[in-house]
Amino acid sequence: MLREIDRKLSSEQRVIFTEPGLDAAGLQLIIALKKEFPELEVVLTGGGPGALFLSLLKNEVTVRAEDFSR
Amino acid sequence: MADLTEIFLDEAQELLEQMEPLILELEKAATVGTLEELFRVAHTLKGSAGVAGISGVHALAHQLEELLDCLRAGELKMNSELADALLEGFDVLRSLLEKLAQGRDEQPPPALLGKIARLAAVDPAQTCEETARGGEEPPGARVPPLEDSDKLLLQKALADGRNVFYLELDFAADFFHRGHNLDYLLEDLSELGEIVGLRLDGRKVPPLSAIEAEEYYLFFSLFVITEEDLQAIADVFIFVLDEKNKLNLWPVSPADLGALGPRQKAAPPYRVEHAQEVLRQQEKALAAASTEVLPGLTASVWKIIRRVADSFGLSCPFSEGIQSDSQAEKELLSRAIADLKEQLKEAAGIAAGDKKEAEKSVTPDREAVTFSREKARPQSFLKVSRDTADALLNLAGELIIAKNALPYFIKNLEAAGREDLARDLKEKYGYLDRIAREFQERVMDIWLLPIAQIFDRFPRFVRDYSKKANKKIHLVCEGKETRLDRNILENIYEPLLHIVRNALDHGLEEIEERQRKGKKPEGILLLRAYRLGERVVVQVADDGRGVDGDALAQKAIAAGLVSSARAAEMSYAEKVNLLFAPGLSTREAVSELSGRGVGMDVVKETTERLGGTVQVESEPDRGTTVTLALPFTLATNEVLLVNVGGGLYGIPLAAVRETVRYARRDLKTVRGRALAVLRNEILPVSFLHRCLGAHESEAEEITLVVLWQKVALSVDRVLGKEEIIIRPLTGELKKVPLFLGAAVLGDGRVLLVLEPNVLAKEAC
Repeated sequence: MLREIDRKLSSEQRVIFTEPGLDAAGLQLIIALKKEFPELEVVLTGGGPGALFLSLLKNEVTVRAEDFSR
Repeated sequence: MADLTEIFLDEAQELLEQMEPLILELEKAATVGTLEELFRVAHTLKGSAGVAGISGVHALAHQLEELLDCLRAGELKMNSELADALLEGFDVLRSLLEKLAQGRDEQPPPALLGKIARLAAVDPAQTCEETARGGEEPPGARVPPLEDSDKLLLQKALADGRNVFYLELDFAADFFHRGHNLDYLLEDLSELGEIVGLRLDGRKVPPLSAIEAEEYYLFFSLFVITEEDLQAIADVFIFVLDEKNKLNLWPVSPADLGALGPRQKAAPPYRVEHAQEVLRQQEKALAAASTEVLPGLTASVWKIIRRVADSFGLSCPFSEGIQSDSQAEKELLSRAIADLKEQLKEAAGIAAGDKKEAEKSVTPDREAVTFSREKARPQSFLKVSRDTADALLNLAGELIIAKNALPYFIKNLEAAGREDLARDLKEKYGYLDRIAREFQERVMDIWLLPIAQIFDRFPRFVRDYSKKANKKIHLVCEGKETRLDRNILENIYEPLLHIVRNALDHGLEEIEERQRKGKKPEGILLLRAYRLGERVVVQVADDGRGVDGDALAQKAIAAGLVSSARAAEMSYAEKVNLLFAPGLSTREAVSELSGRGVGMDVVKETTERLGGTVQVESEPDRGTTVTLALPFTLATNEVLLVNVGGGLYGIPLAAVRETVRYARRDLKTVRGRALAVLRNEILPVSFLHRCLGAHESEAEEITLVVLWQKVALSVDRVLGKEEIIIRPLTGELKKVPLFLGAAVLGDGRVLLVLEPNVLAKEAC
């Protein structure tokens, strides 16, 4: 599955995560993503849990909604 | 005694049993695994004592835990002095528990507490020295620089008298596999205070094309401002931590802010199965609690199980405080605990890799989780009085004997031409036989205990002795899992202690003497047990100086036990056997000997009373081996049925090594005693006919029953074996030492059972 994403991403400029919130697994996935594709824009959807994790990525991702509180 | 105290005593006893061997192991090789296990034992003991309100044990266990924690943090190095302190602490704990069992919660001696506290105090010079030697990078060095706003926040918190802790979450790759959830952990942490300066080190995260989605690669550091203490913070992670998943946690002082990290204080590691144990304890506490204590107890049990649920990300199925009376709440709590236990099982199942993806995971991990799952399944126990267990065992034996009557009826029916009835009865007998045997095996389970219960007492004894006597001794225990009758086990400790003490005192040499003889400085003492047919063989062997046969013979002459002429004729093996002569078995007599001898007559007497035998083999300067051969159970006896001069007799099967047919003409006679040669072994032969005053046949071929004592008994025929219960003889027959007892056979006949130890000595 990841390999498939990897293949597709090589031609993309932006990835949007539509599931609200961010967990540890998502966090490390985004880090991996940025390591492989530093120019790729990562957009997260607001709401849901993970405000603490989001604060760690504030310079790495774009957040669509402001409300990350639970 | 209060119910909680009783529960505590049960648990504490189990913990103490684990403690001593762990300390001794730690002294030999201070491995992380042993240290962590010992720490867990001390921590659990402290926790349980706290719950039960046992202040004396709590205080001492707490001190020992602190000392062990210093060892874990690397602030102290394991040495003999520390081992002494830990062992002394263990001894005092045991004594405190004995007093507690008598209803007294006594306090540990302040001198011991002071001694442990002094040892636990960190020597700053030692820490500096280690750092200067270029040891591991101090954890604080990894602390990233704080933003000014965070630093101000922490400084203000400290100035306000609140606690600040610094944490590093160093979790392993299988963190997700084990079903852990970082979100929940941080959420729990934030409930205890404010999280500040959360940092992420994502350097271990590979690029997307190399990432394994189910593996964990992150490393977090953070500060927590809280009113809680360090233990409360550590407890958030109690179900996560193990050898691979680590938490570095330490309190932060104003001086630490802006500097390198403060000294490391690792949190205690726990394993997942601990959760099941915690729940089991709550169940027991609830079950044992009286109505008066319930209101207070239920509140704390709610708190504990909620924490368990939270730690695993499980849902606590019921809510507290909605029941009108405490009894109803107790029932609700019990259901909640049962539900949580089920959820935990499922959680363990997911972690173990129930999903197909997880099937691909590394085998050791999966095995480890499977093991945890097994361990997590609590085994319930029921207390049974010794009288009841005794009665069950006797009944099981009687049942076996009673069902043994049926084959005789079957034979009678067949003889009477009632084949149809015989067939039916045979079928029923087969069924009854299976049930009776399984029933007996189950009951025997209550009575058969591993010899580890005895062997495990020796490492400490040998360790203390070696230290005192300036001898180096390596104790080896083999076959600790060998099981034998509880009644036998309880009786052989003293004889074994005699033998071991003799080996240490007289057998194993001092270091210098061993070196002079070209031996390794470290002497070997071997305790070995194994099952051999109906017997359990227990051996104590050493590689010491062996028995001084001549000195022993001189003592025997002086004691008037043998004449000088007889002593001159004796072989070395015969002289060694003088050890068992009662006249020589006094401390005074043997203290001048270089060999052994203390209490060996008592050893022999006890062993034989239990239906066993004892033998000594020795070789000068090579060592000595004492072998006890014991029946593995006293409950029932299998006997060999033999015909002697037309009479039927039984010989305990446990005493029989083999039976052979032998040509009468091949018997030799030496000094009037008949001898048989079997596979180059010379065996004295006793004719049972003569012992029993029976008619002796003149057949060319005789049957020999060879005993473990290396004596052959001549009988007319061997008829088979049968399981019986031996009853003691009464009246005049009681005075005849040749008979061990009598038994009623299935067909109602009375069987006289012969005493093998007497037969071995009688020359007839």
